Amino acid sequence: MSGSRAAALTVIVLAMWGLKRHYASAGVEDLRWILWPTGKLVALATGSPFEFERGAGYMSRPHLFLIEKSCAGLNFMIAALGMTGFALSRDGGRGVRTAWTVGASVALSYAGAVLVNTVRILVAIWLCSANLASGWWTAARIHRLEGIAVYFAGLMVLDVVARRFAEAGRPRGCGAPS
Amino acid sequence: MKSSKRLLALCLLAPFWLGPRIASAQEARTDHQTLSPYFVVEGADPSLDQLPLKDTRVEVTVVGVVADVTVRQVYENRGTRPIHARYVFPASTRAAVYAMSMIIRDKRIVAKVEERERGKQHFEQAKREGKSASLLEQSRPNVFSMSVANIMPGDTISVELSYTELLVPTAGTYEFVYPTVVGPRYSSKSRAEASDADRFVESPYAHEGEPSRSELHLSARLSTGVPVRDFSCPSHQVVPKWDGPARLRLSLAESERFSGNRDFVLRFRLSGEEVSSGLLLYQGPDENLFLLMAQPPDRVRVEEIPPREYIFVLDVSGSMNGFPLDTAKKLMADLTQVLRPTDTFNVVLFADGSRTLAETSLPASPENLRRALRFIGPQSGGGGTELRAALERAFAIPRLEGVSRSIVLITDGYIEAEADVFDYVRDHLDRGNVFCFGIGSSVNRYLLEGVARAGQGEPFVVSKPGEAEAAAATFREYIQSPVLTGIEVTFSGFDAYDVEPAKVPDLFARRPVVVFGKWRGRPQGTIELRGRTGQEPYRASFSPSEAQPQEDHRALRYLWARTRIANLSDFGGRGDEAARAAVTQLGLTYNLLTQYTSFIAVEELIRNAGGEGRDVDQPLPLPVGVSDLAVGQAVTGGAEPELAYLAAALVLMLVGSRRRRARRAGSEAS
Repeated sequence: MSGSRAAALTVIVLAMWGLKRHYASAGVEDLRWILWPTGKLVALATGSPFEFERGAGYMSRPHLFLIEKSCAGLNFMIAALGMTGFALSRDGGRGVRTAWTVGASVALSYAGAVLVNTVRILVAIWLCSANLASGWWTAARIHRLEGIAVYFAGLMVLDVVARRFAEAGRPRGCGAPS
Repeated sequence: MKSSKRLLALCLLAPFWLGPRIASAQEARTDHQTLSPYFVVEGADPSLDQLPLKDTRVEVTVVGVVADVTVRQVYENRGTRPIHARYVFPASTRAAVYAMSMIIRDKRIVAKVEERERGKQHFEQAKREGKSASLLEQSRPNVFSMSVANIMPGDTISVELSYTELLVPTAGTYEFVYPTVVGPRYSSKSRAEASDADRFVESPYAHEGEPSRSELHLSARLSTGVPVRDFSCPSHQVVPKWDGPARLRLSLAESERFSGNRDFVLRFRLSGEEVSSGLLLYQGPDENLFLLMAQPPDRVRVEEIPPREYIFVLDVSGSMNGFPLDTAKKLMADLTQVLRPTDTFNVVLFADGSRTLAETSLPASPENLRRALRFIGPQSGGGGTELRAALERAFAIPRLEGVSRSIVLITDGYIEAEADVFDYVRDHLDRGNVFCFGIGSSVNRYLLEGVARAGQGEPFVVSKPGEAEAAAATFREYIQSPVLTGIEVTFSGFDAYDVEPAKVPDLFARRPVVVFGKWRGRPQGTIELRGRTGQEPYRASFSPSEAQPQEDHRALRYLWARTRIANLSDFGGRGDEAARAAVTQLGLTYNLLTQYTSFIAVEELIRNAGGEGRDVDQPLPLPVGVSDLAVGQAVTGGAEPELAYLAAALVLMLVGSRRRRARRAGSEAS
């Protein structure tokens, strides 16, 4: 592993740790930087407003659905940051390249978290309306499985996007890492 | 790579595919969704004033036994967008609302009474045309809804309504109650089947412990004719000022400015021999009215009291969580002390469902009473309020031959389907009485009074644990020796007609028998009151010629009409066409707010061309002691999967990627 890759990964791991710490102690107000765009996108897709309720999150009264702290998508962002950082840092490089890797990883993981989390919430709202819970398939279990499935698919898509991004940003003449 | 592209496309298209499906699923869900209160969502939009009601000013004047109340609600729009406000507020179950006016820019517009549908149409039209308008509708006899359209930015619009009510003393104590907030109601009715009058259930509430957002100012003036012996206000701090022994003025203390989260209760007693019996006469241009208040005899102790069966029906729903249920438990403990060893009893607990202590009622032995208290002890309050189902269960408990049954309901009354419960009690009453204990700082008195009335019992209100013991003692007194039974009122030589009530119920409490009616000709002849007290017959007579008709008694018109309306619709509950037509006619003739008539005031000036504006429901505080569980709305939160699942997903992806790479390397090598 090159020194610059190690540096980039160190910064990314520190960023992941920082995000995790921030998530643990943050209130809903502190998480508006990620909740706000998610709420806006969900509102756009459903056509009904999600309004901010102090101390609670973005709530839709027609859907009786609350985008609260625990559905901010930060877990996805942390996982995505690690994954994209790993994918983008393969090409090595120094100085500016390291900063580019970190910046691109953060941007991709943030955008990915907002988009994938939006899809996850939309499916969750739809499942709630469909009222599928029965026997072992409780609403909570269905919701968790749906979240895992959407996040897994989201990570796979993000992996592809990160590789494309890495190829596009690769310095001319560099080969793919072995 | 092709599959990855497909996955990417799928992800991007998913919101567009899901959006319309969610919307249509939501439409179906909205129709099936039950009516429900909800917590207020504070909008982030500073241009919108979400708290349009700024102030409520109440002036109470008590002259003799009649209270006249003027309520002024002040609406302001401090935002930058026009708004249409709606405010749901309570009133006394006996209130006869006879006037309303809207004051806008120092101009007073007197409201007209119209048939409900017509009034609504006029209001909606004025709203669309951009005219300021206000509409007062009755949702329940004690729940009103005020709508004010086109409140422009910077506007102050006041709406003033007036009502009158008769104060009937119990054991010599007069009580005036001004309810300030409608508690959150449980409803199992779907939105699709709900009527306009049921929509008040969908009101926004602030969270538990948050004070009222609008100010309350209340002043009362008592002019009793007879010196006031003493007074108390157990609910609020008041500042009294005496203008003479029979004239008292009261106002809320400054610290009570935001106290609109509990009923205002004022009690007073007069010097001398409690209340004297009396006859009030009014001679009007079209009709004459009378009011007879006949003080009953002293309670007679009955030595031989037959054994009774008591079924306690206790509400353990979400709205009873905490302080109300603690009070109810204390009350239950005190009520069990009322029982004698020869009595039997049972307990039904209810919320969404119901449970009974025993299949048949148990002897009131110390061991069984302890067992009952253990049965109630672990309850903490949660779930809905399926009151009718609980009463069905109570009535279904096998009866013992020759034993009188009393059903004792203990609840805050926060349900929407009152009429359904009244009908059930009335239809299933068989040699028994239903007594109601309302628990809380702002109970649904309409339910309590209605159930007690249908069940030929009495309502009680216990607002704190300290009052439980006294309430239980009074209950024992009522049960053991009713004041007057088999009551009949007859007229000879006095041409009375349209008398209300047609049948006077038995009197448990020591309060006057109240009879309203109209009269023709000359005030002469005799009114006779007959009944039984203990085992003895009782008879009292009154002479109309001794009472002088007075112009001051014109409030009797409203009070008579209100009593007739109550008997036709409030507690009658059947809602048939004849009753509907009669109530509508009474409302229009006597200028009264009813279930079928509303007050409407319209400012004819177009102030908001196009009528653009946001509908804003004034948020209500939860009554003191009521927990968030009373709102109990099931909001789904969309928690994301834990990080451990994502880590597992990443490991899976890594393993998959390595295997793919290994396969590719293998195929290239071969």
